Amino acid sequence: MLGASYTEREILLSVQKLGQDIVVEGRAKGVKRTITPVKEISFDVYKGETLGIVGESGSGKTTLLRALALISKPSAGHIRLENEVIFDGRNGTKKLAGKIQMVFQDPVSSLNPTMKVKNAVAEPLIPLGLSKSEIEERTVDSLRSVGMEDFLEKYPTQMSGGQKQRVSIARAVAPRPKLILLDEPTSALDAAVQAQVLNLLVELQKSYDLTYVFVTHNIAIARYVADRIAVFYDGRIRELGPSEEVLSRPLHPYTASLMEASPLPDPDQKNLLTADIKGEPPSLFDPVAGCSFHPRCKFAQDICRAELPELRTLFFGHLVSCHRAEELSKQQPKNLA
Amino acid sequence: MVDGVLGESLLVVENTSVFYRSPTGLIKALDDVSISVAPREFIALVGESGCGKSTLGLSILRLLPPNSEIRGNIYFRGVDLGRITNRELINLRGTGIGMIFQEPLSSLDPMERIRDQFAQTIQIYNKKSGMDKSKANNEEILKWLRQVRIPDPERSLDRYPFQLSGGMAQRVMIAMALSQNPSILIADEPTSALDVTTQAQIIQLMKDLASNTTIIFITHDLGVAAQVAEKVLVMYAGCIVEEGTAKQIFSNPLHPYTQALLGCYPRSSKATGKLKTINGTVPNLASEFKGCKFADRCPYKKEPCVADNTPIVEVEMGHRVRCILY
Repeated sequence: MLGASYTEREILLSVQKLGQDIVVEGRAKGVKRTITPVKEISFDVYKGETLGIVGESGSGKTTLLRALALISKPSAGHIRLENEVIFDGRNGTKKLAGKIQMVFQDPVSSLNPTMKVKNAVAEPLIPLGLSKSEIEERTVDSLRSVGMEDFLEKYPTQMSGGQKQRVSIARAVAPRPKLILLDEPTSALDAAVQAQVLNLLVELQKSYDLTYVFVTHNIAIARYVADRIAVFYDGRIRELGPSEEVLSRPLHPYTASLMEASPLPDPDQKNLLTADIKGEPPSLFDPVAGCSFHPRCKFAQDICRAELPELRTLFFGHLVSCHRAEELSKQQPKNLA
Repeated sequence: MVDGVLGESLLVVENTSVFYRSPTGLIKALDDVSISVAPREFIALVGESGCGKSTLGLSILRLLPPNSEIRGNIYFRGVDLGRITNRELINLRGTGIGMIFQEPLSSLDPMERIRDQFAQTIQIYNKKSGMDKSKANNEEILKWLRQVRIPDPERSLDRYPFQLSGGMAQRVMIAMALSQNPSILIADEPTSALDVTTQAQIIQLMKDLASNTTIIFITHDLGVAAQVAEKVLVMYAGCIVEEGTAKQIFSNPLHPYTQALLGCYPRSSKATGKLKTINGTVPNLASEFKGCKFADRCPYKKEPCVADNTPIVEVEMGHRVRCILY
């Protein structure tokens, strides 16, 4: 299904028709409603790559990561990690310890304020059955790899936001995971600190041979870190492909809008003021028939209102879920640069 | 009230410093800031968190918290805001200088319908400007909601803030602020909590509707500043380190801090190499300073940097920088 250059690569994580329902209590007593933030998502993550997931708030990015880490139990689908089934459609494995780690957006709330740095980093090592000295060694080693070895005895309140995020990263790396899920790891940080953390993540990926799924709403960051990009909208992947391909030749109208609306630090390219995007993403309580982007899409036709487009390959390794992708990709040069 | 002659300053901030009293000592959040704002200018105030952007915005409206102390003079249409009565200040807020904040949902009253909140805003404005004191009618509110392009404005009237999305709530805030017809609108990170597609819509809206209003747009996002502003002020550790037109700041940044900050912005893929960063951290504002606050992180640091206070110099027309290199 994917291009030749990808077939040779080893698949680390395989996700098939993953769905996540959430039951929400209504305002009236006893009224419950089910919403589906993640809808039948299928994709593979290759060993050693960074898969960037971009999309706006409410598009299901975080829910997907939580489902992948089995923090919340998915409602449907299959997940395999290195050919081992970790979720079979009903039950998740209990032997996941340490293989998938997660780094969250807010470094303040993801560290226990009453725990010293060394204990926070050592905690995920406990279920691995290591000896005390091994745990100590790994803790120090992980903190050294993020440049925080002098903070062993410190508490989170004694650190800046950037330092806390480094500790969170050290904690994620410590159990030597196969996969790290990063949920907007730099969006709470200032520009200079963000650049430091991004450099660190790229470095760690090389030295520990890590695979990342990197969620961000920022196209510029996705362009920098990701080898491939998946564009999310309303709980589905709308476009998936190599970063350069997706960003220089977006196939889905939503990807194009997203890029138009992302402000460039260049007063000569005023894309923001000319961005042609209307409306807001649909509410999960009010599902839209057909392609759920159609109310905002300037290319929408009858078929878009009626039928859900499949995610299909249009070019080598470049997938899109749009009825009119073939036609539109020929019609107009969507290159926005 | 009549606007000043074009080119004349509408707002002048003169040698203004703001201190916050804290358990660890006096924090100098704003350090001798001077700016002048001409009518109908669109100014962006950029910098990282803690650099004093919001403090500057709040000090103009005298909305600083009780543990603060302000020194220096701020003039609005020639009137010293430090010398007017509370009553006059209240009259000025909203109608003379309006402000919108980052979190629209915490700026709106959660217990009141949009109709009632909006009617109050209009009523207060009418009272201030000596017009009809009767309650605002739906038509007037609807006119504003339509102007900020709220879909289905009739239904929105009866909604509570929690029933609106972030983008819709920010539209209501903008409509309320503009209904007071302010000469200056201070917008403190108005789009930072919004998605990019919503941000684009809100900024386009502000540009369209406020063509007669002076806007001071506070943002940490250099991309947004480059896109919207005519004039850009770069702040660092409570000081203005560089000021100029958007073109001057982004195509010819002079201050080492501005250069470094622009360098941190990712523009290509990781294959092209590491991102530039800035060494060290922002200085502690509770300590005493001599010289340039960026000196410790600056690659061009020389002895005179820490010896004396660096004056701001005009390098070319309208492009001023606070650095001994120039």
